[in-house]
Amino acid sequence: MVYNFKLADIGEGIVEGEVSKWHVKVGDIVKENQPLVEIITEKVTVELPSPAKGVITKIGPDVGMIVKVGETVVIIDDGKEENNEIIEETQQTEEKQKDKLVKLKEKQQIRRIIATPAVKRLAKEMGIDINQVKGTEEDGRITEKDVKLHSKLNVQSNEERIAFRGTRKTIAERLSKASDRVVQAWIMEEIDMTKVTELKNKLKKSNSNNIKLTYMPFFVKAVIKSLKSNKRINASLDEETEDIVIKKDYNIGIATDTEQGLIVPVIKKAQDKSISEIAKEIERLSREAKSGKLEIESTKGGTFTITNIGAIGGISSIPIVNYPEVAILAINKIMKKVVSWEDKIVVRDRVYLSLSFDHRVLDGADVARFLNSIRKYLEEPESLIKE
Amino acid sequence: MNNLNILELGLVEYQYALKLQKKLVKERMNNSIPDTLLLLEHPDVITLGKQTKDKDVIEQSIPIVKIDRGGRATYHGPGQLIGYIIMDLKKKGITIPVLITKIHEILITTLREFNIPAERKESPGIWIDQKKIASIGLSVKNWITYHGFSLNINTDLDKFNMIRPCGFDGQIMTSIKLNNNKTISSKEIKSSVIKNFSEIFQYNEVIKN
Repeated sequence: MVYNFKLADIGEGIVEGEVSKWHVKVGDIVKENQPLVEIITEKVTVELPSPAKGVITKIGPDVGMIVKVGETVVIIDDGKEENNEIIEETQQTEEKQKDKLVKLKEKQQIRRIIATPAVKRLAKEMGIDINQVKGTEEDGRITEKDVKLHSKLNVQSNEERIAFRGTRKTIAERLSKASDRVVQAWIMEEIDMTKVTELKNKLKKSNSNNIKLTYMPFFVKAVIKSLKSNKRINASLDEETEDIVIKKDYNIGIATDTEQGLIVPVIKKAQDKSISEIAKEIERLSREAKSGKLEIESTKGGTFTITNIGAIGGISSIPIVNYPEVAILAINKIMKKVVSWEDKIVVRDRVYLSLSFDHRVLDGADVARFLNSIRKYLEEPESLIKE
Repeated sequence: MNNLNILELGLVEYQYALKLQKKLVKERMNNSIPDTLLLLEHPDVITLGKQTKDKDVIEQSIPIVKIDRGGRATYHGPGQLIGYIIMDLKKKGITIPVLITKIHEILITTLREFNIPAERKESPGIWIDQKKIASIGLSVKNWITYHGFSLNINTDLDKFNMIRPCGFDGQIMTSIKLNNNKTISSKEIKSSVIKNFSEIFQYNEVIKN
């Protein structure tokens, strides 16, 4: 089997690096974890270990060259399955390498297989060559578990396995916690965005300081103003002390899509910020989150979360409350729709806002009032930019 | 095993510390020790990382060592806290960019506890306005890290003029002493670093030796 290892596969988050030293050359036989190449990224030198044993059939860029994500670092042939092909290839290279490869193959075949008849039968039933199964017991004995693991890892080569850890795992743990604790309920409202679109375009034209103005700062501002008159929504539930904790700062989390998964950086004390300051802050947080430079501190202390899923797509969605907060607002896709507006049939910019909330703390009436308030600010948005 | 082992070693020769790190990397690889943070100081020494340029060394009056960490030239000496990090990134489940971000965060949190307005900039290291107070440089072997960071407490900053630290002018460096009116002992700094290190990397238990 030929392994084509790209920087993304083995680089552990490295996006680009300079090749500083090759530890191997084409034709070398490598063991698993043997150093292959040294790559320098900003402030870190990384020795990339071989992810498999086999013969190096190709190496990546020369020393001093930059290797990027997705580029092949090295190709390793482990001599299994597609044996014929390899021998053909090695014949074209030096005789010496062929000898090395033959020795490696012999070594693999000499390995004694220790397994009980029951395990051997299981392997046969599952259509697995027991010679290919690696035993995990100290003496190399193959157990039923090894056979099953082997079948999982090898039989379905049309699968790819990605380690479930890091950001993905954190997201999962937090969502499980929310779903364990929170009693979620949901409400949706349709809002007219035409005036916000007009105002946004007007501000963009007069914008001298190059701020990337999106719809998001308007939503943040409308949410804060509405939270101020619906204080119980800017809160959390302290289950230990049995208190509903009303937060005095409005720290608005913005769900952000990154390569690692969903991250929620927080605009701290957003109540003190203007539309353009909020726009700047969102741009900074999003840039840091996407480049992996976000400090943990910037993701802490949120009191209410907004997710702008509609920027990617979807006319309606049900977000999950960002526990221990008590409500989350999803902005869905802003669409041109034919509607009745001031008793005329016209085309307007419309959006569905969905709000999920912890029904233990809030009732439907609370959140309906909150959404009404958001609607009022977004449909008459001039007041959002005064201050 | 999500424990952190801390070794406070005092003043240690550079070469000895390097050997010790390599030994600890091997032991970490065999899983015979947990992740380990070494805290120490070095006698005067200049170390040259892999990206060092020829013009980075200006004066050669103290020992110079070429090493396999990332980054360019730097100076270590008394009054500078060194933190060497032996960490298994696979077991910890973090990537290299996350590691770098967290090291920055530990140092920033520590300095802010002493009312020093430290921050991260585009260029790595910890900055106070236009001056650099701490440097970072690491190596990773089999996903085990070594080398780490250096933080100037009351370092003799003139010695940085012997080199171009990380390619900058020698005058760019600063220290805790220059940024704080009252004297902060290195003991206070160390215990704050240990606390923030174990919190930010989320270790369950800290073992001090």
